[in-house]
Amino acid sequence: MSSVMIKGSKNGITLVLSETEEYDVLKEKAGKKFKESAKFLGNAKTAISFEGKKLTEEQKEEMIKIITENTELEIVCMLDSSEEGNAKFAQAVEKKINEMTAANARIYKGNLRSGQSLESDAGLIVLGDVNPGAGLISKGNIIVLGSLRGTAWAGAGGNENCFVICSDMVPMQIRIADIIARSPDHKDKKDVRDIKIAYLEKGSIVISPLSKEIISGLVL
Amino acid sequence: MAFWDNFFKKKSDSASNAVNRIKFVLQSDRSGLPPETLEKIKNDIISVLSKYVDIDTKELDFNITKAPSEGGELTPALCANIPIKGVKRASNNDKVSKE
Amino acid sequence: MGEVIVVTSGKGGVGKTTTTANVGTGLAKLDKKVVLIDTDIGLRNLDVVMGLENRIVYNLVDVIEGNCKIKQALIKDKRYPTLYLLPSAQTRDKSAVKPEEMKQLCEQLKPEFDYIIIDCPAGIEQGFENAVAGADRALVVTTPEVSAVRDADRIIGLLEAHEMKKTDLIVNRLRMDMVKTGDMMSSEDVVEILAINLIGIVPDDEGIIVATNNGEPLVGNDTKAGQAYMNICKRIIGEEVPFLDLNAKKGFFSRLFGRK
Repeated sequence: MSSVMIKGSKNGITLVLSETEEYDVLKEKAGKKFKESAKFLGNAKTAISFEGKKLTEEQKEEMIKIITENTELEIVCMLDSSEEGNAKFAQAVEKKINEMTAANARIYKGNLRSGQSLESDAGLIVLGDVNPGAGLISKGNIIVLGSLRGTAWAGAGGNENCFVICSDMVPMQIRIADIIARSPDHKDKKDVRDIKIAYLEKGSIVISPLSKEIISGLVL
Repeated sequence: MAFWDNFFKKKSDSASNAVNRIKFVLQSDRSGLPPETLEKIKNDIISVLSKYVDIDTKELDFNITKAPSEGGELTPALCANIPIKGVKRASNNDKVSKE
Repeated sequence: MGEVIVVTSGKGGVGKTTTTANVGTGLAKLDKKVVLIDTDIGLRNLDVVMGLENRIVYNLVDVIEGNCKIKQALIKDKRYPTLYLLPSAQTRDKSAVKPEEMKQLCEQLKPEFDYIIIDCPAGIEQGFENAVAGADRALVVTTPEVSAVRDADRIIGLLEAHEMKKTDLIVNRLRMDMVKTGDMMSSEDVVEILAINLIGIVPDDEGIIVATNNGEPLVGNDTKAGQAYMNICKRIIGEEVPFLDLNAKKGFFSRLFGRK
């Protein structure tokens, strides 16, 4: 068991220090270790947390200095190894991922019937109809090549830039981020069947035909 | 044609069929006894009684209903109304009361 | 304190949901504060019969699981200010709710409403147990058909086992023309078989289908069914109302030219 260990996680890197070793010894070993693994660690921007031996703030600063001197890593923040810190970090990461996933999509072929629902952390493309009582929930965008007669929730993670596009827009409800719009009680029979988009504008959901201007204004 | 059909139509019997069928079905539903068993009990009782008395099988009424027991709960009870035409000579000791 | 009424039948398709919608709307028309609860989890229908399907955000299961407050899940009716709907969940199943939880929910709603009307799913399984758990009285709906009457009898037996305080019968979809020709059991026949108090007879009416198409219960309008449902509502609140004369003949001209 080495007295200095480097662990990588989705929350950044964790430096595990033996509690029985003197700080000066650890400092020296850490320097060596990081130098050895510099290539492997690469030049990412990352967060760091400490485990094992309790370090003072100055000692932590010193450790970060050692890391930056010996590797290409850029330490952007220091995290508590506590639960709370992790949760905060996970939240921040998720928010970032939410923004990124708007551009990726899960593709589903087939009709969704009442009682069925489809959820995706990324975007969602449905090749088929979504019947009343069926629902789509996506953290990204939703595109339905068919009739949307059920409910659709785009940007379920809170991303207000998300949109819903369908070739036949007759939904029961559309939800973007935390805003909900429901269908009118009396449907306009003259309404032509056309590809339409629903998006958020000034806090309310707007449905309009999908024009070139609107497509060029979309944020993916 | 439809008009005349309506005019001279014989009164149908399907509603009373329905009433009889549902009564029969509910007897077995309520008692938990299958209809065949009920029929067997009926025949057994008739054959026993027939040893001693003449029974009017046409006017026979044989039912399972729910009757309140001592505890006040409704429990299935067998209710039979068996008209007796006459007492057979052979039966001297046995008395069968007419309900 | 409000009264909890469960609308049940055993057999499906005899008009439980239509009855729930009309009785609820009728009571609201009589200025009572009413909430309708759909307990048919996975097969909800009361929302479409009421024409409120596009307003559902939260549902019964969300309330039970604590995902939202009761008030958030209640949908205010678009026509009557004292009428509310608590819709069922469509993407879950009956095991999502337990009878004890329904009982608690009813207790929470009682101080707020005059009547809490529960639409019971068909069948005698968990859904039935959930629906009757918190109920003070029951309306048993049947049609004059052998199959429906048989199931109604079973349900009445189960309600007795649940010690329901009051159980009344509604004979739905009666066709007087067929009763007269002897092709349909009369309401008297049904009452004689089931031996419980009759609270209403609703004639078979095309208007019901039109009303469901439009999502607007027909209670209280000038159709026979509309009047029959209103009479049931009045009897529920304790008024004495004579039964409708379903035999009333229409005039010769109205038969020739009238639509109703």
